[in-house]
Amino acid sequence: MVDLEPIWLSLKLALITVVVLAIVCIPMAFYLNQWKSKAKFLVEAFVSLPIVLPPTVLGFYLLVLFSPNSFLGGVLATFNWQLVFTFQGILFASLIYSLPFMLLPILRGFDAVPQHLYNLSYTLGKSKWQTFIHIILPNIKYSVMTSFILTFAHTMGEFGVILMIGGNIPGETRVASLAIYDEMEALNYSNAHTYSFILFVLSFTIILLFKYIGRKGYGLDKSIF
Amino acid sequence: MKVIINLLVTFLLMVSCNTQQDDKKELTIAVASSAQMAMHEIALAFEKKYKTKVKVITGSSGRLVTQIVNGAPFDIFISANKAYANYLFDKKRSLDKPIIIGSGALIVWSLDSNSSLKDLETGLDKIAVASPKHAPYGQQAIQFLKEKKLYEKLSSRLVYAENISQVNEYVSMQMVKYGFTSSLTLLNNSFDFKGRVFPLDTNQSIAQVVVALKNTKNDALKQLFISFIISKEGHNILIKNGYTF
Repeated sequence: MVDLEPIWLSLKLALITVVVLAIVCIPMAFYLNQWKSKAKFLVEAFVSLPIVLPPTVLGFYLLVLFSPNSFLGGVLATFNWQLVFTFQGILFASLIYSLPFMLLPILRGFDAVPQHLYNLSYTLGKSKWQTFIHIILPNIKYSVMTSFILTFAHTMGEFGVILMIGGNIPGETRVASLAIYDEMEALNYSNAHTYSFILFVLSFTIILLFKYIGRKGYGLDKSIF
Repeated sequence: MKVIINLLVTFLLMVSCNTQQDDKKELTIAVASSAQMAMHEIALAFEKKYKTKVKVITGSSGRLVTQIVNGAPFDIFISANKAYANYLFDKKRSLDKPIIIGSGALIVWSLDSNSSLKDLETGLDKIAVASPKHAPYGQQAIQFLKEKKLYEKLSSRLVYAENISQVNEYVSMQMVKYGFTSSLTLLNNSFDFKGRVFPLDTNQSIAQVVVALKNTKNDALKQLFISFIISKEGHNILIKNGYTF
């Protein structure tokens, strides 16, 4: 039987990434949507960079940036905090790596909300905050759900970045994708198959679950109108 | 809102329960792909004898060196060739000069029953070699082909793999007919061997070396592990895995 720790690590990493990015990206996307500036496309292009950068390149730069020999790594080290070769490190890396996958669908969602929906809500005496929580957010539920699924799937399958910055350490940074690769390299194909199968079933179930929650949410939206 | 708060609490719990690994009675050894079979076995024997947990981390020597230079918490590094370990010594990342633990030989492996070295030269099937840029066995294979004046003739049939583990994958899945690989990855108990092996008449062998690294503490334990590798017991495991001395 295979060691299940890499699967658990992958799940933990993906779930924390989704939660943190949701907290960061929903306000960020709303702010970007409301921001009327010519520089907006520059910001959007910048946060989309992780999509085009090869993961190993991103991993390599993060490794050099946070290495204890570097300035930033040195500063962190004085606080006894090391980002490379730790779970916090791969979490940080996957937050950066998956940021566009969380941000962009939500941003497109906000963009698609018509202005009259805001105006309608304001004329009915709702505050900005109430409008956001009760009108706008439920309206983009599908976009948010898409973001969650993309981010989750992207993090579960992450390989290059984690390999570079995490160092493949068992129980700390050896996630499922690395474990599969390791088993393959060691010619243990049966273990590699087992890991792949567990990963597949697990990811599929969780994505189904997201979809199910999303559909229930959609049912609630309809009652608004 | 309640859901969000619940998620936040779960998240904080998850992050806070991370264990920081300091100098426990535990060793982390970084091992070049070609040495992984033997080192897994040595690690098991060492664990049994000294009741110390040994974590084995495998990868290409080049990547492991990059990570060591950037502070990876590895105690010991087993390198597929001397150059990488010397680089670490020059960068003052290792405690001592590298020690040779044994050598592996370049071989040709095939799963096909009508394979032969003659067919390798004249056939049409693909041949896998490890990347000569960073894999020692890839460099050796290319050098061998050049020495035998076969490189020009065979170059269109060569398939470049990341390292010899990938060469082994290509051969074992029969994506290629021949693969230039290492004796060290095939001659061990854990792998149920199939096919035919052709030794090559080259007098070069690739010496693997071990160094203790400076990135972590517990130097005594590192020395103990290195002396275990070169002890009689470690020596026997290495021989069983195809090492020559």
